[in-house]
Order: sequence, then structure tokens, then C-alpha cells
Amino acid sequence: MTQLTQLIKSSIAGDRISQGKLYELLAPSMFTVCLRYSKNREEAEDLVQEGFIRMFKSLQQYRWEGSFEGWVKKIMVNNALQKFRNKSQLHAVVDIEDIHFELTDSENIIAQLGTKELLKMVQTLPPSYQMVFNLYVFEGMKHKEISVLLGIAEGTSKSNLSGARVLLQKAVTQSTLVAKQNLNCL
Amino acid sequence: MSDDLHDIDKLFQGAINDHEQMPPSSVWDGIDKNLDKNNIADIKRKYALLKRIAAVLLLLLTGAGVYMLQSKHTHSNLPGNNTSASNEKSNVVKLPAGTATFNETADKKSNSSLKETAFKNQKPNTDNIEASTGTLVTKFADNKEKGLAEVGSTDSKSLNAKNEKSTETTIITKKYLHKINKPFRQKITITNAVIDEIDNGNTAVYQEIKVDKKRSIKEIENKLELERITGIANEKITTADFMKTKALITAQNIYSPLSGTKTVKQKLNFKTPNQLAFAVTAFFAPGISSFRLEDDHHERDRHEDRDGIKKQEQNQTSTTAGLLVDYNFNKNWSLQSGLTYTAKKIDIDPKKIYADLDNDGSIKYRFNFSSGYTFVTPKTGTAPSVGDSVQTNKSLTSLHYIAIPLSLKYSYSFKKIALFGIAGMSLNILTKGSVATEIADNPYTDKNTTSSINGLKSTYLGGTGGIGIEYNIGKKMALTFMPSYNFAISSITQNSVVKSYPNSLSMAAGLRFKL
Repeated sequence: MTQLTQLIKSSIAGDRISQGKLYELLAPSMFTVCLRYSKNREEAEDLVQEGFIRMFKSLQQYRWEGSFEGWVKKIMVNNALQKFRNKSQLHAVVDIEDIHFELTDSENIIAQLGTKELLKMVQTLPPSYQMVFNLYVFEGMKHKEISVLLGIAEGTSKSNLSGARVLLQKAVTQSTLVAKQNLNCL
Repeated sequence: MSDDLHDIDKLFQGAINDHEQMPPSSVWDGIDKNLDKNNIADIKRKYALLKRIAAVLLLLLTGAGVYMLQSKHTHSNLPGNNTSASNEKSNVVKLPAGTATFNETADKKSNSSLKETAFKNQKPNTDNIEASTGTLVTKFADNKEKGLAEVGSTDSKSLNAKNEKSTETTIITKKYLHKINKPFRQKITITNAVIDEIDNGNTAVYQEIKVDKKRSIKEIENKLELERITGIANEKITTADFMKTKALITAQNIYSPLSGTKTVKQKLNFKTPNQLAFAVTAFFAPGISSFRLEDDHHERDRHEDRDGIKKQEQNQTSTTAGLLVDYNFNKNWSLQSGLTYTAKKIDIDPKKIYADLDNDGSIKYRFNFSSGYTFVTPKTGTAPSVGDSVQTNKSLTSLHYIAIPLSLKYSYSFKKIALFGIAGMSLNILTKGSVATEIADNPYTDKNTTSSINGLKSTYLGGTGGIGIEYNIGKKMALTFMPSYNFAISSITQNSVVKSYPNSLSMAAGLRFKL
């Protein structure tokens, strides 16, 4: 029996120590997932907390098929989607030209245009774009699946993805430019 | 542009997919707290359910006791059963449906009660017996023969001229009959069988039996069957000494004029007065208790362990009271169940306790003991930091359980005394757990009492064993004394510093009522 299997079984039995260990094992990757679907770190913390509570409560329903991490990730994504669905923000119309990105980090942008900044860019996307971009790029869903999941037209899903890409492209370009200017100043 | 856009996908995928970041500790604290809430809610739900089950069981037991007492009272008023209880001269035989059930008695009292409770038909014939549906009680009298003349003479109305047979038929309800025909529970043997022709084609078969411990009921039934078949010829009643007879069985021989054959239908259904199926014992048992402790490796505490806790909790007492119902399979073996209530008190010596995070994330002093743990906050002074310590005074833990035992009992009796041994298991349900402690360092010595012991399970499985003695102080009552050893099979704690298995040595004294 693997350590993970043992931890899952003990967690189902209600052993808090095992639940803690399972959390420690999965929390880092799940927190990143939640960061992608949230607007800021605080929101991501709420999402990951709710997601894990939901996961522990429904752990008995895990069928021992496929990757356990994948099952947990699905719970996190569904939790995030439900949250955003409740906010009814999926159909927001955004004027791409009016988007301004807050680029906070000015260190060695090309090298430092790292994960945190890219995550920040995803977080800054309008919710409708953010959801579609996440589902398409990170969860590997097709537009048809996304449209069913989010209750939107397939065309809207494609349009939102396209909009998200444009915004991100612009953000990356701007960020790189600022970084270069800062380097030149030095 | 399109390529750039797809590169964007890859750029983000590559950078974020493998990224890992640990959320702050407050996230886990929130999860932990929420899961605790659920556990508490579950335990509360469980408690409510268990309390309901216990209440229902108590009601059922009370109901069953009242029913059995009532049943016994009614039964004793039935014809034949008065004598059965007093001088063992009567018996009841139930015939299969479509035939008849007969009751024979040699007692005047039973005749009078028969008159009170039943409809009488002075001269029944074959037709009215066969027309019944197995709910007849018939009283026979035959003044031709010596033994039966004595029977007949108890009811002058049923006797006519010499050499004339008379029959008294009584109709009773099926419900009533059911009460009469309780299961046979004593081994008997047949000492004599006599046959009498009472009407055209109808023959009454009288079989005399007495108690014999060596025979099983099946053997007796076989014996009855055999004697009925072989002895059914035109034998006449010879004698029937009712004074010596332990029980008398009658049956009907049905003659079919069409086929010309005779058949006897009979089923033995006998209840002896000495062997009663149920008994209720009310008892009280003070005792000394202790704990077997094991370290819980999942919940290690750097300040306390099994040995330390055991040392601090030497003085323990327990008191149990309850009602137990015995169901007798036979003279020796019985099954025992019921409802008991146990209160345990455990003194805890003064000890040093340390501040730690509680379930809500606040810092309080954690008080570990054999039955779980609780958090203590001094009512005055500054809030503690993790690792701070204070000294407590003597503390007291109280645990209250109700239990449903199920035991097997073996009894051996001689004269008025019976010795018995008992072994079984019990389901113990926590009804209340509390701990009272006070902090010695506090100048105001605030007493912190809490009923919320953490880590204490709502139920545990126990075992019991003991030997005892019973002294009969009447036909239905006995004094009982039993030293017993009770122990826990499963731990009473979980997610606590120690796993705790309580055990106790108690001396029970009680009164046993045979129903």
C-alpha cells in the first residue's frame, strides 16, 4: 500500500494527522490552481480552504480510479467555477484597449517575468476571459465542454479565449518593455 | 500574431503548471476548525439518536415486563392453571386447528374460574367439537372410573347418573388460548396412558406424565405419539392417580364414519409452574475502576505520556445500577440483556499543564487526562503563549454511560440456592462527560468546569464476566449477589494523547423477580 493510499484511507477514517499530511502534500499545487481562478491571494486562500473542506467531506466518494491529485484538482476547479458562477460575471464585456496592467516587479524582466507575475496577469483578466483561458489552456478542455460547463455559447468561449490571449500578450509585451526601460535607466 | 498568441498559451502553461506555493498556515487552521465543527455536529446527532434508541429500549423493556406480568396474572386465572401453579395437577393440550383443545383439571377453583371466563355447553357432541376452530377448552368427567370420578366430582353439574359420561365444553378466544399455550420448557416423561371412549366414535386419551430431567421434549413427543398409536384400541380407563400426577395430557380421537378410520391429533403444549421463561433483576453495583492506557502514536504530546497520566489517576470509583432481563432457554442456560447506568469518577492529581493552540486557533492551557483532553483558560491574568505552563490543583473527571448488555448465563440450582456464571458483551453509550479543574497559580483559584471533553468517543464496546449466587426467598423472588469484572474491548478515546480502556471490579446486589 502506497503512502498516499494509506493517507487517503486514514483521512476517510477521520484521522486528523493523516488529513493534515494529505493537505501538506497537495496544498502547494492546489493553491496554484486556486490562484489561477482567483483575483488575488486572499481570494485564492479562501478557495483552497473551501476546496479542501469539500474534498475531505466527499473523500468517501473517491472511487480509487485515476489520479487522486486530478480528482482533488477537479474539486478545486469546480469550487472556483461555482464561486464565479454565483457572481454572474462570466459574460462581462471588456474593452481590450482600456485594460491597464499593474506591473509591480521591475527586476530583470526577461528572466524574472516569472510565475508570480504571469499568475498576476491571469488574475487580472476579466472573469469571463480568466475562466475560459484557464479551462482551455490548463485543464485542456474543448470549447464545447467549456460552453456546457459555463453555460455559454461555444462562440463566446472562443471569443473569450481569443480576448484573453490578446490581453495577456499585451500584458507580457508591456511588462517586458517596462523591464527593458528600467534596465536602460540603470 | 496567431503564433504569438499560441506561444502565450505555452508560456503560461510552462511557467504556471509546475509552480507550487504553500498557502499560509491559517488556511489549514480554517480547515481543521471546520472539520472539528462537523465532528461535533456528528457526535451531537449520534448522541441524539442513541438517546432515542435507549429511550425506546427502556419503553420496550417496561412494556414487555408489564405485558408478561399481566399475562402471568391472566394465565393464573385460567382453568387448570391455578392448580398447575399450586399442586401441578392440570395440563393444557392444544390440538391442531380444525380439531379441539382440551383442558382437564381436578381442582374446584379452576372449575369456578372456568365458569367465570367461559361459555359452557353441558352436553356437547361430536358436531359441535368439530365445528370449532381450535379454540375449545373441554372439561371431561367420567364417574365410571375411579380416578376420573374424582375429577368429575369437583363439578357436580357435570356429573349425571352412574356410568354416564358428561362433558363440559368451554369456548375461549384464540388470544386467550395463545396465553395458555406457552412453549414447553421442561423435560418430562410419561408414566401412564389411559383411554376412554366418551361418545360415539370419540375417545379421550389420558396420558399421565411427570418431570424427568433426562428426556428431551422431542423424545416426549415421540413417546406420546407412539403410545397414542399403540394404545388406542378399545382399552378402558383403569386408574388415574391425580395426586401423584405431575401433568395430565388429553387428546381427541376423531372417528370418521365415512372412512371408518380413527385418527388422533395431538400437540403437546405444556407449561410447568417451576420453570419460568423470563426473569427481571434490579441491581446496584458499587465498584473500583482503573484504566489500561496505551500511547496514541498519532497524538503524541511532548509534555505527557501514558505513564505520567496513569500515575496521576490512581483513585477511581464506579457505580452501576440497572434492570436485567433473563430469558431462560432451559433450566440451566439463559440469555441476559437489559439497560444499565454507570457513573465513573476519576481523581486527577495536581499537575503541570502547558499552553497550546486549541481547536479555534486560540492559545489556551491544554489539560490531558485518561479520558481525553480539554482546554483551560484562567479567568484572570494575561493570555498565555504557546509553551507557557501552570500548575493545577486536584481535578475530577466524571463519566456517565448507559449500557445495553448481552450475556450468556449458566445456573445450577439446589434447593433454595442457585450458583451462576455469566459472560457477555455490552454497548456503552456516553451520556455525559465532564472534568472539573482549577489553576493553582491563580490567586483567585477560578474553578474551570467543562463538559466538553475532547477526544472522548460517544460509544465503546465492553465485555463482562462474573460469578454469583442466588437465594430464593419465595417462588418468584430471589436475592442475588454477583462480583463481576467489566472491561473495555475498544478504546473510549480517539485523537487523544492516550488510548484508554477502562475496567472495573464491582459487587452487584439485587432482587430477581421471576415472571
